Amino acid sequence: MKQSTAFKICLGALLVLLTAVPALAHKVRIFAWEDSGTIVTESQFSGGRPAKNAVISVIDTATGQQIVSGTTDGEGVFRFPSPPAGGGALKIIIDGGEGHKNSWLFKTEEETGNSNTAQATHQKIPAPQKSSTVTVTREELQQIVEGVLDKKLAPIKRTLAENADRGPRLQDILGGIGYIFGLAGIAAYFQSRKKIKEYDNERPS
Amino acid sequence: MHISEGVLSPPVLAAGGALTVIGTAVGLKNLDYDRIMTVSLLTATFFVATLIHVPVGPGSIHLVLGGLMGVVLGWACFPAILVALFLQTILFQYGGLTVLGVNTAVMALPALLCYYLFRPWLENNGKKRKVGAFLAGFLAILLSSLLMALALASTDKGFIGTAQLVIAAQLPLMIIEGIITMFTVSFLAKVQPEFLQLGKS
Repeated sequence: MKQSTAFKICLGALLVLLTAVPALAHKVRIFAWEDSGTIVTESQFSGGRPAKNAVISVIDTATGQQIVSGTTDGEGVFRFPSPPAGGGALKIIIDGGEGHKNSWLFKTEEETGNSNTAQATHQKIPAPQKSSTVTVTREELQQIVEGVLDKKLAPIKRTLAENADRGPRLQDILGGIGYIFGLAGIAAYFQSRKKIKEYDNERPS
Repeated sequence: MHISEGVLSPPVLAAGGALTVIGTAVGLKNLDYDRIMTVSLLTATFFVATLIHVPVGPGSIHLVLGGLMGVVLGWACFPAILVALFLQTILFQYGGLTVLGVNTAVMALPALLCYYLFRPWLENNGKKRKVGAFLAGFLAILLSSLLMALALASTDKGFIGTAQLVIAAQLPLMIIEGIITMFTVSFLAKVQPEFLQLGKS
C-alpha cells in the first residue's frame, strides 16, 4: 500500500516534469565564428541546451555603438552579416532572461583586411569555358580559395569557439570539494584554539 | 538560480550583500566545534548537487537542496551556501563576485525559514517528520524562486513576466526536492540520527 502511494507520487512528478518547461541553468554562454561573410553566434545554457529566443545585441567596441540586435532561433543560433573591415572588435551580448547574461568578444583582426573577400563567395564563380584554357586572375583565385577555406574551416572554428568556454571539469569539482574541507579544517583549528584558551583560563594558576 | 554579473542594480546588490554578511556572521558565531564537519559535508553536497544538470523535457534542471541544508544546519546554512557559491564563481564563472551576496541570500534565507518552520517537525518520529521534510524541500525552492523574482523585478520592470516564468519553471524541481529531502531526512534519522542532531534542539 505504502509502495503504491510512493509510486503514484513519482509518476505524478514525472508527468509534471514532462509538461513543464524548465529553463534553469547556472549561466548562459555564447560563442561566435565567421562563416563566409556572416558571423554566426550560438548560445547555450550550461548543460548544453540551446538558448531559444534570447536577445542578442552586437556592439562595436571601437565606437561603442550597437550595430545589430535580434533574437536567437530554436537552436540558439543568430546570424548577422560581417561588418565592413576596419571597425573594432565586436562585443556580442546575450540576455537569456532570468538574470542570465554573458558576452563574447569577436575579434575582426583575423580578417585579411580586404573587405571584398568576405562577399566573394556570394558572387557567381565564372563557369568554366569550353576551351581547355581557363584564365583565372590572381584575385579570382584568391576569392575562390578563401571561400572554400571558409566553408571547410567553419565547423573547426565552431568547435574551437565552443571549447573556449567549457563547463566544469572533474578536476575543478574535486578541487572545489578539497577547498571546502580545507576551510572546515581552518574553522576547526580556530575553534580548537578557543577551546584550549577556555581550558587554560579555567585551570587554577 | 545564479544571477549573472551586470544584471542587478547597486541597491539590490548592496541589500543582498548586507543580508549575507549578517547571516554568515550569525552562522559562524553559533557554529559549534562538533558541527564543523556536518556543515562542510553539506557544503560539499550542495556544491556538487548544483553542478549536475539533468536534462528534462526541453530544458535542464539541477538540485539545490536548500531545504535539506536549512533543516539540518540552521543559521550555518549561510556560510555553507556562501562558500559553495564563491567556489562556483571562481572555478566555473557561475554568477559573479558582485552578485555573490544576492545569490547567497536568495538560497539561504528560505533555507533558514524552513529551519524555524519545520525543524520541530523532524523531532517527531513518524509521518510528521516525512511531511515536514517534504515541505521544507518544496518551500525552500518556492521561496527562492520568489526572492529571485523579487531581485529581478525590482531591478527592471520588464523582468516581472520573466519572474513568473521562473516560478513556473521551478515547479517540477520543488516536487523533486521535496521527495529527495523527505527520503534523505528519514534515511539519516534511521541510520545516523546524530547527524541531524535530533533531540538536541
